[in-house]
Amino acid sequence: MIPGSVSVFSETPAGAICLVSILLVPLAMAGLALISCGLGRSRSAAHVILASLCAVSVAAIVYVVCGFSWDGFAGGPAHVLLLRGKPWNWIAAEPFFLRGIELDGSPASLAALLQMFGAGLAAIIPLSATMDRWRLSAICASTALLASCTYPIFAHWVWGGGWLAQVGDNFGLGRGFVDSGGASTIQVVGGLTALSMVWVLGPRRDKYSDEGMPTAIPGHSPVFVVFGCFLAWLGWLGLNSSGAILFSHALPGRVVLIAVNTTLSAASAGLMALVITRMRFGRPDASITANGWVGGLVASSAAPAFLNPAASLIIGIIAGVLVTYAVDWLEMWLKIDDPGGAIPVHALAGIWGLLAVGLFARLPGQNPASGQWLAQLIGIATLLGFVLPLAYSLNWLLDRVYPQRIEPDGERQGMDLHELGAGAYPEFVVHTDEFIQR
Amino acid sequence: MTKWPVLFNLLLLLTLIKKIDWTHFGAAHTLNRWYAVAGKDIRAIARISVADFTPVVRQLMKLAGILFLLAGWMIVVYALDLLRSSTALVAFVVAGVAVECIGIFFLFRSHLPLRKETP
Repeated sequence: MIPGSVSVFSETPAGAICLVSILLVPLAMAGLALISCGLGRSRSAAHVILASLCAVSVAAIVYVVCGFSWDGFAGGPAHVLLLRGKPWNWIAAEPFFLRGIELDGSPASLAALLQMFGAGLAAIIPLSATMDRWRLSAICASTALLASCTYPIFAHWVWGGGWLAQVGDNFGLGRGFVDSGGASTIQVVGGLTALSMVWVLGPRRDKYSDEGMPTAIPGHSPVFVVFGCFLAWLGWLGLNSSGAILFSHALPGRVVLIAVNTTLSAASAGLMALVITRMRFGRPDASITANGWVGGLVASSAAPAFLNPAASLIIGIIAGVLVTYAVDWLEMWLKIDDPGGAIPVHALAGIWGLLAVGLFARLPGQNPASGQWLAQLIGIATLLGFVLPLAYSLNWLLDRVYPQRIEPDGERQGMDLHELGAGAYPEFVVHTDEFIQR
Repeated sequence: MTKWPVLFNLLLLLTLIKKIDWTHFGAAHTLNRWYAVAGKDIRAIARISVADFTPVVRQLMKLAGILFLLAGWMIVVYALDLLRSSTALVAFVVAGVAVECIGIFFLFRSHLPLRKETP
């Protein structure tokens, strides 16, 4: 039993709101899965949705089996190094299968539940970047690596009382690295894993011409994409609220502010993306607007309980601009084939959200010049310098022993027919190669 | 005895510098002038980019990128542990992030698809 756990926490107003909020989080997964499905081709639609379900299942099982052991909860058993008199909490030391906590509504059990969902959410993110070329079995294997290694280690550093959370107490940098809603632990970790997978798998067949020019391969259902945005919004309200109560000890009344900030950030980012695409192409683009909306949700996750609404509006506007231009930039100049925009939406907007905490947030008991921005920068450096190499190395090694990319024939045929034996829309004529350059 | 690893690294660095598409950088005119003196087709030279690297060099660039990322992170962590002056800490953290940016640059450039390699 973790010291400090209160078994009747779920019966307090904060605990009850937290529990209800956590139960909304799977809607974010459903939303992201629908967005990925809509942005992909019709001949891979069933594969994307099934892969999302498999990724969530594998992530939940692996996280419960061993992920929580490395992740833990603030105040729980951990491996701590003492360097020059300062404690460096590197990794938790919980027993496997959640045997160290009572699943009774205590803060520790609610954190375990939220992080189980968080691991699933992080596992879905790479799927939208690697559509049409990632095998189902390889998705499950890669997700197991994410949920057992990459996610829990970093989540422990931020949410489990690890060294990043303690840079405030130990080194006087603000309140330490702050991320209450999972902008780093879930979104940026998922986004950087997506980038690693895109590098490992390479672009889709015929995405780039011999001259290196990208071919537009439009998504098959804007309806799914926009409906996915609505679901993701609901899920994010739950994610941001529960994270703020559990990890930043926000009061239950702050949920109203969190909801306003989350909505404002998403709305301004989505509208910004719409306006930019309208100005650039003459028509608003549904997929980029949806990407902007989700980018705003991601950017709002870092500290929604400690921002004022005007700051959230600014954060959303900048996130919308970043996402819109980064989608083009990655595709045109860096030859990153990311059909769902996972890298700009989750990695880039997440990093911006984390930086914005240092610029705009007013954390309780903190003076403005307390080095909070430096704590945030250290967290971002850890994401780039530790999480990205770890995710890339693990997936590169996995690819060496178990090739992750589908065979060329399968890619030509479509993932649905090749891997599942049936298409998602058997009663319709399925488009095949009309968008491919000849 | 220690000069051989240094010489090897220098050779590797020179190989990389030669392969980089300098037309995107400020030194482009200098290189172009050199190639013009050598009587080579500048337009053909300008088309040389990292996408034309051999697979071995690309693998080395990937490794270098990963090592730069880890090195940048280690700079940040060691600075946090060793430095007490806030100015020095800020400088080293920013330097660590800059080293990571070099690593990301290497990784992006080494993953540009080879021409005509799509399956």
